[in-house]
Amino acid sequence: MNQNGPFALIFHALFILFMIAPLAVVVWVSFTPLGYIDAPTTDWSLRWYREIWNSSGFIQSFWLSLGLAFAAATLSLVAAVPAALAIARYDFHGRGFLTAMFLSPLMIPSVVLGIAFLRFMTAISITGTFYGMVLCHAVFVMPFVLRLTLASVTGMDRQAENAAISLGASNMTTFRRVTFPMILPGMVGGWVLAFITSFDELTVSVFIASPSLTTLPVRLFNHITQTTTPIVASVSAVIIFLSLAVILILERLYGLDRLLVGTKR
Amino acid sequence: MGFLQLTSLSKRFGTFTAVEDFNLDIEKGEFVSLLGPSGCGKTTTLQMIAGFLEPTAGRITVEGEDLVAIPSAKRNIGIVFQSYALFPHLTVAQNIAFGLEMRGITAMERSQRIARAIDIVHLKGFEARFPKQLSGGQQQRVALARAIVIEPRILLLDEPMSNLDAKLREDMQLELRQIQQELGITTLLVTHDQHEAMALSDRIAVMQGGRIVQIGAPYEIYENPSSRFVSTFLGKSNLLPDPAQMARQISLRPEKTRLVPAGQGKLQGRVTACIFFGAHWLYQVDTDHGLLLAYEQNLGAARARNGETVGIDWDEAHLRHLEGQE
Repeated sequence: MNQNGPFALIFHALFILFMIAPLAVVVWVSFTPLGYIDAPTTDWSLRWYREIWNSSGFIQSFWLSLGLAFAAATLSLVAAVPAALAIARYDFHGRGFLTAMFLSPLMIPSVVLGIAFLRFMTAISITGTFYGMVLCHAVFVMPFVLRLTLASVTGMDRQAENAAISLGASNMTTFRRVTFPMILPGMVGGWVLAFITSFDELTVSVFIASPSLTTLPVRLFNHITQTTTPIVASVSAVIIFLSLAVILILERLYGLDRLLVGTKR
Repeated sequence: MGFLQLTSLSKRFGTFTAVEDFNLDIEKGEFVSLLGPSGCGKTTTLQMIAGFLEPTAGRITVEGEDLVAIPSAKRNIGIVFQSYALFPHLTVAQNIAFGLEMRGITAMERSQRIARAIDIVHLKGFEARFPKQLSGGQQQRVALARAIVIEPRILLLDEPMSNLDAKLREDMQLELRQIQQELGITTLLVTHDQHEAMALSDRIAVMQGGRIVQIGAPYEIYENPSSRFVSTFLGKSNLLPDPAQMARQISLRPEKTRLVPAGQGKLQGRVTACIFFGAHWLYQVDTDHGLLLAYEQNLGAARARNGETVGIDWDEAHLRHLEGQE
């Protein structure tokens, strides 16, 4: 192992500080007893946390965003696995076009996508439905799922499948017992990235959200444009704590390196 | 009639012919190697027997039963792959159990057979490890155990030793040969390594351009190479012009030559290289017939130096007339 020199250590410390400082400030502000955004020094209060419970809108939006992210990431994964297998293994007509299309949401500005989704949803009259939103988000997060799944399909030793077949496994059994477990780390990593991206998504959601279906980022955004109460800080703080908890649990159960970098056991 | 028979087997990919009119009979319990350079069609042949590729023409039969009609999952053939192709998410024991589970063998019999297979490949104590936690040699043993535990009709080995270092390879070769003979399992090895083929096989089939160019026991082929290709691919060979027929050549193995003082022997030349290999010395001698190689058993210090003029001698009985130019 290389040892870090003093300059490298200072650089890393500053870098981490730069990443964490805004989060710390948000958490700090969330404990203010005052009615406007301010960093408390003497008086601390949980007033704005109680306020979250009192205004049902944020809770409702949180559950909506959670459900939406879950459904979108899952739907996206279900579509991405066969696509990744086909793209990685077969040389068919229109393969490049298909890959580019699946990855295109990354390259098209979110605003453009948002408008397009809205027009499309109106055209097939699914505007303002949960399933419509799931569909749009699934398309939006597809590049993340596909990239990671594709990487693990490409990286897997295909002889393992031949080995399974030679040992008497049917094609279905081979997929279930060999292929699937071998590409699982990439699939899980892609799903997690997709989940986070969907949960966090604002630009596209602003266009496709309706008053009854307002995701958490959209509600926060609307709130900020109208008023500036510290409730945005307390909601953000809750999300930060929840994310932290999820990360800790994942690290314990699975190892984050394995999940997001794809390092295998 | 052979146990495994390949009859006029051909495989074409578009306009490229990988295997052409391939004929081979293997007896029950025999160990046969397909030896050849990369692209000679040996792996394609193996994949057709395994069922991963369908022959363009020809027949593959085991005990008279047509194999091509049987899907690969039902052929009951054990395969050891070059990359080992172990299942990384399963332990050693689970890897070996896989084929038994597919055959619906009861848990009790399964554990007995796994224990026996692990015993055969000397992997006791490694049952609960994952492939990543094993060395290359150990992984190879797992791959072998997984292939033989199903008691296959045929064992196919696809360059199984090419990822091992030289010392380990020699040990594994001895061990593999022992296991194969103990189990009496009909085995076909695909390799480009002549030493491996010679150490393991009852018979070697030397392949070139999708065909077998010579087949026979290792000693037989080595001593009587039919063509220039065989004489240079299997061991080293000095090629001399045939005085009887101008277009033909004669093969003379380097170890069948003797260095003699200048002026004696059948050829004169100047030593251009002298290399020590431990068991023998290798001399490269520049003669009228080009550079010739001569091995001398290490019975003492080098007998000639660089630049020295020497004679080379041999017994006429060791000369082999090769057919054709190739």
